[in-house]
Amino acid sequence: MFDLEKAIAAWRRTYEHRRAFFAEDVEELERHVRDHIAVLVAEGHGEEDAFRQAMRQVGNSSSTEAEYRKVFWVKLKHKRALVRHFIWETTMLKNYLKIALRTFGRHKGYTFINVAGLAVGLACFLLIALYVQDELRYDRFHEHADRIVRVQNAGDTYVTPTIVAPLFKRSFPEVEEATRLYDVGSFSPQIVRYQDRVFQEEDFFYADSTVFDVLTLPLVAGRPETALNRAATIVITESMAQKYFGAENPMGKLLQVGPERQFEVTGVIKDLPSTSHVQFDFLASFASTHWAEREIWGSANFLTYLLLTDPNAIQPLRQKVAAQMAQARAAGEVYDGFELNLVPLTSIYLDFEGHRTYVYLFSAIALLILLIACINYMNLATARAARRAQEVGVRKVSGAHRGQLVWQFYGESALLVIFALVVALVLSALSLPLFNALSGKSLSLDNLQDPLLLLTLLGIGVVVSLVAGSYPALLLSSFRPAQVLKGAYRTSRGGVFFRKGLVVFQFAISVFLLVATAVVFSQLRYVQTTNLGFDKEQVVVLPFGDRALRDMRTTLKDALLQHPNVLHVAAINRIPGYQRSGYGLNIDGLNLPEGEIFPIGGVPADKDVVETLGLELIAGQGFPTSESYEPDSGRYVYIVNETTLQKLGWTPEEALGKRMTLSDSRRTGELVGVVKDYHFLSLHEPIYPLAYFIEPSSTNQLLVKIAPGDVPGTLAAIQGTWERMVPHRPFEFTFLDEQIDALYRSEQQISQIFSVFAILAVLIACLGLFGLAAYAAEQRTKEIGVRKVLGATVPQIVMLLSKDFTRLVLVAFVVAVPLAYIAMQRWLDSFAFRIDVPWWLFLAAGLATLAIAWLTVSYQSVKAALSDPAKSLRYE
Amino acid sequence: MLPKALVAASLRPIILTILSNGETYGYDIIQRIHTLSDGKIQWTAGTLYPVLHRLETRGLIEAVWRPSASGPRRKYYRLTGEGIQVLETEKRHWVDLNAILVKLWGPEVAFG
Repeated sequence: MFDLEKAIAAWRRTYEHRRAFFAEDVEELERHVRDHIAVLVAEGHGEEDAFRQAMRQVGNSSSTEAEYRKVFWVKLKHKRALVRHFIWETTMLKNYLKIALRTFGRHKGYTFINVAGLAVGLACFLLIALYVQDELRYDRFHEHADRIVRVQNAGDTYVTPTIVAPLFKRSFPEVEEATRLYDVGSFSPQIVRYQDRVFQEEDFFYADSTVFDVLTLPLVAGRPETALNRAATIVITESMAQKYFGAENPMGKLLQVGPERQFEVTGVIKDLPSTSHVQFDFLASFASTHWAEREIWGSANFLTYLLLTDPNAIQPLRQKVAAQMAQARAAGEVYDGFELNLVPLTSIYLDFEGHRTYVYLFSAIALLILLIACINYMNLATARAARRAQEVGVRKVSGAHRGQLVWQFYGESALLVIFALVVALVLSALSLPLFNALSGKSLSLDNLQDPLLLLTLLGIGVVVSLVAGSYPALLLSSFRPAQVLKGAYRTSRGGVFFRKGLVVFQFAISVFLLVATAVVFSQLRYVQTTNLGFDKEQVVVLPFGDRALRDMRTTLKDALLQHPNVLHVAAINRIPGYQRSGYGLNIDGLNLPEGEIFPIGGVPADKDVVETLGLELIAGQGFPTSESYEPDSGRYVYIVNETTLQKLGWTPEEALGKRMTLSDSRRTGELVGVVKDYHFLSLHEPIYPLAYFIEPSSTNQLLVKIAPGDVPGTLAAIQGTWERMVPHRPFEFTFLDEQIDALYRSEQQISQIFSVFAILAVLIACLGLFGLAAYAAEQRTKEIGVRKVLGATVPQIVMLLSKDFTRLVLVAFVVAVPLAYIAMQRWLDSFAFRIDVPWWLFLAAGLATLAIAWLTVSYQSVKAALSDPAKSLRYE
Repeated sequence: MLPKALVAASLRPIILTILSNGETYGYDIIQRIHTLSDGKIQWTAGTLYPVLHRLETRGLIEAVWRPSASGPRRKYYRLTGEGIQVLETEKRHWVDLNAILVKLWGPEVAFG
């Protein structure tokens, strides 16, 4: 019986002992034979037959060996060459590494400047990358984030009427599910009680039971289908469960909310991530109230979220919504100009709340800082080219290809970047707590596990190595050994120009960042110190959001006023800075065309509000001392601001005493006063018509104006009165000026981060300049020596060395100023009330940069100027 | 069957051209030439492999062992950058030679 394997093995042996074949060759031939046999067998030959044919084709071993012998020696040489080549390569690699480390060691100063600059640059980049990553992650935690949209008013409010969610779900097939949230806590904080635990809660919402279908709110207890589908049920977050129930199981327990309502806990959700644009701790069921029952266009206080069937459905749906709204307007269901918009969930934080600009801004700063650090490396490396020219010459003479040299220098820069990366990681880990405090975020280096970020970091490392190493790699490797070894190397004119260009670029960035920082700070100072038109100091704000409290308003006020340090007390709907509202004004003598409204803000308050806020009454008597405001009584009283009269084109005399009403004829009454304009919203927004009217039933906050001096004592007295009279509410207060400052918190944070990075950028640039100045001084050692011998003084020498750099900084200044001017004008345009950028600010930034540059350079200049000419000239 | 000397001379351009279409292994090269020449050129393994090995030592081609699903590993060859350049020159030489023969014999003979 024929055995193919045995036959092949026997054939193989005839080759193995022949000397012309390497083991590899026999293996290749065997595979050849096997291939051939496989083909023949597939054609229908028997194995034995196929084997014989294959043998014939290969030829006999001795004639084949004759052919192989012709190339045997060539192959052997080639193999040995390969081995030698490998050994040589590793030796060279070791040599490169040795030379690189030696160079780093010999020039500790340069190495330090390079690593420090790159490390700080990379650390900045890393921190900003974490920040940007966090910003871009907003609301992405929702499983269907790309299919969720928020319906909002075309204006700047994002609350919608009750009808929107049910109507849209019924009418549009693109809407898979819809849900509504009602934020009750931020207007009137809720008092939540379980046994003896009582807290005031602001993040208290009502929600449709469909909220779990649209948003991703993982329940740790309870079921999404049943958690909110009946009256008097509530879902709370894990931290609230801990706060009220401790170790007890919260499920089925009753929470007392305010004096009247009780809710059964039917679910516990995980706390919302910090990257959620909406934050709530309590979700009570809408079924508990009548608010959501009626589908009407009027009551516009609901957040409406839609889950679409498809991320691309938003465009067709927008058109349908526009058509629907046109219909509703035609039918008179909504006022003219009422529009609804769809905003994708993921762009609410970035676009609607305006953070995208800052994401771009910081990304740009990160790149600029990195660029400055790279430029340092390039500059220093090229400046030192002369020192290494000899090495390059020797290497070239010894047979190095240009490619090898290029790789040597890229390798050196990669090594340095790796050092810098390690230092940068340590630096950013150390500075992260500080950065978190500045940015108000809770970032951690754990986020580095994100493969995308890791990849970015790796990519940045490679790019920085290439960018930072390119110029030296390409320039140094192009030296002609003959010239270099004769010592004829000179810094080329192009090289000098290139280097100067880079320095100008660096300092232009520095000047730009300094100007930007100064402008941001000036504007924020202006915001904080500008006269807002009311007195924000020494005003205590107390929540006043329940009926029991409002019922005892006059007694409570009287009791508080007993204290000599309490000057005024007034109840108000919303505090200044937050008085956003929309009404339509109707006043005798104002004849509006059909369908048009005179938009006006409205603030319900009580009679003492003008004194308490220190508003300036410029005409009329002001509010009467008695509060007779009953609805439908026709005896409402109004105070408007100056802008209202300007818009109407009336003098105070013409306006006073006129009958007017806001939106609702039940509020008909008389205009009794005009106050000077004040900023009732943040300074981002212009002042528009506003009216105060007495309506204590709509007030949510109590303002207590206290005398300066002994604030803690006064607060203690207020607390005493409060706890005696209002036992059902904990005493929790804020100050009005704190609330006003909170309006600008994000600008404050951003300006702080911005200034830190601006300063770091300047610092890194100076680090490079320091190295460059050292190089320049060294290059001119002999010149300085000659000059000194000829009688130049130290100041003259310092001047000589500083002159060049001064010129560069001045050019940078000229380049940066117009750019900074344009950029900052655009930023300031986001404020309705803003500073004009003063010209001296640019000058100051320029002088500051110049001073820093001078300081940096002067160390080297003075050192060079003081050097002993006898030493520097000894070798001539 | 073509004379041996002629076959030997044309080996190099033929191998390089085949490899310029992508990497392959020795047996496949022999098969392709067999098909291309309608059986007029019959190389043995003993002629092909030494030529391949010589080209490899010259740096015109490079070899790599790859595992195979159908049996033991196979040695694959592919063109190097230098090989591509050499092939270009070689091509020109053969085209020139062909042009001379065509001129001498006239088109009828050349393409007949």
